[in-house]
Amino acid sequence: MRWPHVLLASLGVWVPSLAYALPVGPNAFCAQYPTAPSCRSSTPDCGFCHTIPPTRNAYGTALAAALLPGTARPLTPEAFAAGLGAALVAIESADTDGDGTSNLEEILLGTIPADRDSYPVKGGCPGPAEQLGWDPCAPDLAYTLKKISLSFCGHSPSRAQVQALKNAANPEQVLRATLDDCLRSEHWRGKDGVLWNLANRKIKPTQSIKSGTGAGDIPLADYEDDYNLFVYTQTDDRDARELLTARYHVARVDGPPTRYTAYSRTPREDVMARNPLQSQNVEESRRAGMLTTRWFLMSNTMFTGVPRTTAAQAYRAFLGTDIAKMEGLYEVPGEPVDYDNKGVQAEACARCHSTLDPLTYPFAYYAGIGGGQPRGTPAAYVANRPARFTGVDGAAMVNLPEQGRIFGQPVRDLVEWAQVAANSEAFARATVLDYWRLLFAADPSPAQQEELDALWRSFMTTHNYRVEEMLRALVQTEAYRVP
Amino acid sequence: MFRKFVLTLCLASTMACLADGAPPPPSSNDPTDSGVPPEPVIVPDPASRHPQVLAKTGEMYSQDLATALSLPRDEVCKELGSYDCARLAHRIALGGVEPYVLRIDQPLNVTPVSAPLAVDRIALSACGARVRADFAAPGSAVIFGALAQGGSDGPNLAVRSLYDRMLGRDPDDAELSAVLELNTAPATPEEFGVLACFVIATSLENLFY
Repeated sequence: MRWPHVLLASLGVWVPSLAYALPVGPNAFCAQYPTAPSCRSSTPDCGFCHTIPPTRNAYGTALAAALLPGTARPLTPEAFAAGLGAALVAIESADTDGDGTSNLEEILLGTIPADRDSYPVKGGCPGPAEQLGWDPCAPDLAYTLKKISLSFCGHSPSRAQVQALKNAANPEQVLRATLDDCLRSEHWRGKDGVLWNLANRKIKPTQSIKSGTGAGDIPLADYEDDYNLFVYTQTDDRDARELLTARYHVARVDGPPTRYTAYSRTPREDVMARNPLQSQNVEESRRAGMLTTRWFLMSNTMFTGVPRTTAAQAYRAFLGTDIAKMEGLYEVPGEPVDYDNKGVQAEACARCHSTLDPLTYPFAYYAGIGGGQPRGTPAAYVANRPARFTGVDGAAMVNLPEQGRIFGQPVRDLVEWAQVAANSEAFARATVLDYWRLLFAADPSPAQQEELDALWRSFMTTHNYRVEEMLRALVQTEAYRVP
Repeated sequence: MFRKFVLTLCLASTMACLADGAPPPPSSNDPTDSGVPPEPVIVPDPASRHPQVLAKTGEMYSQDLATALSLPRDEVCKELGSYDCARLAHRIALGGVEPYVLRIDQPLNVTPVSAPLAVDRIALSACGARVRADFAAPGSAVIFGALAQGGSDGPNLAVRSLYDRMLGRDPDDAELSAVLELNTAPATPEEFGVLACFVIATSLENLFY
């Protein structure tokens, strides 16, 4: 009796993979509707047709019924792809979620045809709302001033400021001046301010192992160096890519006004200037911004020979790609090699590790807390570090290369890894998306996707990677200005 | 005395809703009341295409109250007289973070049930502080001078000043009369000052942007 159960269970996994989990679907959808907001910068995710795959939502159910009716299931991927276009057209005029808007209209306007609470607002604008003075049908200057003042300065504008804006010959100049003042406020750039907290997810501080001011019980590294570098690269006329490429560190003098100053010392000089529990131990030629700070290496690499967690955190925090969610996969032929004998060549592991392991190799040459033999300086570059882990991870560790790959591109070391990352579209998009989420407390809607895409592309070109320039453009978007 | 104040406060909370535009309940003494619920009158409001209403964080709210009521920021609200309401006691509930020990590195996705209570406590504390100061020295009062001196226009002036300072606009007639309804026995002038301030400070217009 056991075998039939096992067989059925295997089929249960296998059959849906043929019948439903067809990765050609999103691309075929976008070939049919290239101007749909959900197709402008990527493709729709599984949730467009499924609740939890393989279970379909209302739209997916209607689509499946219209897909090659009468043809035996499961469909082959080729048959699925060939029939999908006609099926999409067949249900265009239907309203599968019953929200009063046809599927086609929803697709083209960027709402979700499987969600009755997601539909385009119709009927136009009846006129300005009297009570609050906001005009929800057009960019509203007073509303914009209030948002700028609260988001960037931390308080509402005074009535006199609003009146001055309304009376101004050039209200845009007033808004620009307000934003510029706020970008220098303590609320924005001070310790524990808005920018500081924007770095929380990248740094993941833990007070118990903090060194320096306010040290914890087991002082290992000072994350304030990381916060200082983050705020420094996001302010004034500075290139945000230095977050990943800086060869300097940043000191802070609390204000108001709080001041950040870049400096460079050798590891030995830093030990003398501060103390051995705080010093930055990577020599200048091997530094790569926040990827090689003492805190980042100690808190992520710790005692690991092949620090996959460190690479995955860098990929997630700075490039917006989470390998744990199967994002940013660029399979590398011949990988994973499994230098540390962790079994990553197993079928269930290999797909992600084919990207993750070569992404990790350059990080393996930077120490965390310890772990290898002989022990060396923590959080420092160590030219033969993998070989120090043969006793723990096996003899193949001596062959682990310093060369790696990011986005499928070969890099010779972590410094080049960081340069490729910093110049990538992923970095620009992730940086701008951070600020979008900060200012709107939400991801862009499908209808707003175009504005986000334009912003991160401008960030790479006309804004020259200056965050403050990008923010001046962001507050001019319709998404920001229309109540 | 305390019970009386609590009862009046409940009334004020109701008035806060009224001031936010909710329709009043139908009167049971209405001679035209046939017992059949009337058809609701739907007034079309301009709809936002991308509604993105944000709540002020505790720190934004406290800073705005400090400015509106001319109080030092540190005197807006302290639990047990020691712990700043927005920076410490209710920090997470009101949209703040604490990444170092609690590991809360982003504002909570869902507003916790304690958030309205925290807002009420901050507003009451700040309003109480302003009223006490103004009634103690009416000659140098900021908002409630005429009210403290017993002038007949005291309540009206106080409400207009509160709208001006907190919301940056004048009240319309309905709003003004709704708040002035709080100025009835058993509320003393001092209690009316706190209640009027509380109603306006906790209006949707002052909490969200």
